[in-house]
Amino acid sequence: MKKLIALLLAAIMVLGLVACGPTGQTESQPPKGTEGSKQSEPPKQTDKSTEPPASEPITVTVWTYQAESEEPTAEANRFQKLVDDWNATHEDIKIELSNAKNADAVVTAIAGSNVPDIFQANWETAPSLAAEGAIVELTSYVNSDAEFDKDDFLPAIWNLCSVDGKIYSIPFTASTTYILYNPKVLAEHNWDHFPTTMDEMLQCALDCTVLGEDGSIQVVGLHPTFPWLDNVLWPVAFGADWVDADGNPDFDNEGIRKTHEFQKTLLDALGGYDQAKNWADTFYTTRCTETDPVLTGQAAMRFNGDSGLAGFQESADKLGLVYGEDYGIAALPNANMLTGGVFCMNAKTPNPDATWQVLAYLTGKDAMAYRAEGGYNRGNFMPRISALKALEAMDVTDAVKAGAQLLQTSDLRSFPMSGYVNTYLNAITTYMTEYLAGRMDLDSAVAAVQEEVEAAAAEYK
Amino acid sequence: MKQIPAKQTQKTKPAKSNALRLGSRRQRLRYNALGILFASPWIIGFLCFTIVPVGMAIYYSFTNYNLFSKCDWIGLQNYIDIFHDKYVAKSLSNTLYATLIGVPLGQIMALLLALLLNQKKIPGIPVFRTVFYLPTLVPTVASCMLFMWVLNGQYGLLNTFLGFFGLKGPYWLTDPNFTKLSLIIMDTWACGTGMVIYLAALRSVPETLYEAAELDGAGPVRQFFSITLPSISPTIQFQVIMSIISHFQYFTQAYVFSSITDTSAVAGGGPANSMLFYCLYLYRKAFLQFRMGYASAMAVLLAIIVVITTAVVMYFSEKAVSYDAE
Repeated sequence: MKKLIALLLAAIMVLGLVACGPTGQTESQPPKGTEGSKQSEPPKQTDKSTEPPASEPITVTVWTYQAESEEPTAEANRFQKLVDDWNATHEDIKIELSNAKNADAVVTAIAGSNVPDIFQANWETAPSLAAEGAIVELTSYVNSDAEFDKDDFLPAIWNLCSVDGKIYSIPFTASTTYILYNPKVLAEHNWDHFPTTMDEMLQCALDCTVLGEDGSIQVVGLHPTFPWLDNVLWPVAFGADWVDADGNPDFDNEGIRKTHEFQKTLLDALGGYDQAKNWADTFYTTRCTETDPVLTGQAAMRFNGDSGLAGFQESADKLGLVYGEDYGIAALPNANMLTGGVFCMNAKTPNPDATWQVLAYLTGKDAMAYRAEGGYNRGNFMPRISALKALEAMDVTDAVKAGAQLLQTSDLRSFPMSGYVNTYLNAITTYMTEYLAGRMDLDSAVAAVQEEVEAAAAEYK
Repeated sequence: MKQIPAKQTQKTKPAKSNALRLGSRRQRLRYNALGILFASPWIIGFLCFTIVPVGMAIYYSFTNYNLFSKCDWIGLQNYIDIFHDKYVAKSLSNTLYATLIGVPLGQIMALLLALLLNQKKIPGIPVFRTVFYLPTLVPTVASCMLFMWVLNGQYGLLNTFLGFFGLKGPYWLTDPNFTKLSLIIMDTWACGTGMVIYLAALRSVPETLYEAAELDGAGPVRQFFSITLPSISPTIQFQVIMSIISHFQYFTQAYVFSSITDTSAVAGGGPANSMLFYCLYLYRKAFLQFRMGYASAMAVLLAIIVVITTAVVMYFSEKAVSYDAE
């Protein structure tokens, strides 16, 4: 009896351990060398890991971060519609879509399994995944698939998707920086035109900044900090670069210094970093609403990097403001930054060719033209030129049309991709904020970033 | 059909009586084995979800595991790197700061609230209890958003309140000297769980002790220090230890707060890395830089620190803890 119970306990424990093992072990395709042993298993076994017969369709799983919504035009539902259309017309490959995922869920999943085959990633995450061998290099797929038409994409977007000249992700959204401005506030300070150079922009911002007698902010000329964007935006605007010609980290250069001196001058004019940051924390929560500081005249200029242009103009319409007279949209004088969301292919995907077909479909011309209509049909910026042109022809606001044009006509640049991009961005935020806040001098801050990034680059190599 | 329960009863009755008698060695073994069998779901869960992951974390701490590819054994290299990593030192000092300030403050606030809510003569006490417990139920993200407004240096509620007394509050969210205090204030606001535990402990102190003390002429303060505190000292010890452990594992609030106040970086650590807590840095290493081996070593080190700290606290608090009231 004792032995029986002991055996029973042992069996339960082993079963428990097996059941709790990584899902990738059961769901992934067996390595070629082990196929023979798998085939010897009883045919009635319905384990997912067995190679599907030719007659069975291949399932390609796709994960996005898009929030679930009842609104039929929401991004998640547009993706679902695309997937439904595909599944209705394809017998050999089926798509299984899951929305509302996040970066941690994706990393955890692909660490242990071949699910998902395709997943959304932030632009700065993809290079790190590429460096660790977690995603498939897509260069040959992109270059050899004529129907995919690589040249239809904004040329600069491929820099965002490439590491060392190799493509690792496919863009599915695009975003640049739009300066929203209030011409009346500019005119009050004798600026009858939007600045055409960075020197003019600085002067215009300083002229429009108004502090109260107690030093509190009354009107912001231009607030230089903005979530996620300021690290990239201003160096692009000043033509500065983060790496040298060989791709090595080069933060300690004149352009970068000028960029941050520009920001510090603006912040000091606003009463210092702390006061300016508190203003931003408060007023940026109202951006693109009827109390947007540009619409209310509390800011002369500000930049907006997301797809809030439609909401901005709708709020302006509610206030009875006129585009071009009461508010405007402009590009930065020299160059503009480019960011976007990307799709990656899991390195463990058992069917890379089928997965590429799905990826090419989801980022194809028709799919992007459809998604360009955006949530509530307000417009959505795509990295494909054909989709941007389609957006311009749609019944969307003037601001959105202007945004689409800016994407096609601006000189666009993005942060250089590398396996240590996260470390680089974190270092810039940490030390340059210290400079902007007056807690470090410029030389020390720049040197600290350079030192930290050089170490990260060495480790990466 | 009705006979089945009767049969089951007949079968189980002798087993129960055998178990109770525990006569022979064989019967004792059988009884123990049955106990293990019934406990096996938990044992399996413990093995799968605690022992195995802990064992794997220890193993990975000696490797260069990156989540995605095969790992190599690198011996103590991760531990050596940790001791040379300036951010580990920074995150540890932040964590210690939050622990040293946050634990006493949180416990004192919870105890004070519990003492207030332990009054029997005040009407509507259950309502007050609910109100004071409510912050505990607010999701961390929502709390952070709320305190972003409360602690705004220029327009915030707290600084406006301080302004009534002629005081100029600091920039709570942007000044690295005050960001950790901001988190501590937010945590203290949500001390409802500790308050409820202290309240339960206070309720278990025998009334007779207070009556006897009153007869001897002891006032409320004397009663508090001579009766209440010693009587609830085991609870205080438990609460302090649990609070220390949770402060060493401080993550969610710091992650959300630093993400909101410092949105140009993921798990950035806030101004001058003043909110870079140990677990936040561990997360950054594991899930942003994919250095899972290094992160595992950090986790093992944290476990050792927590065990040592707990042992030290228990050793030094043991003399002050009284179990007489029990």
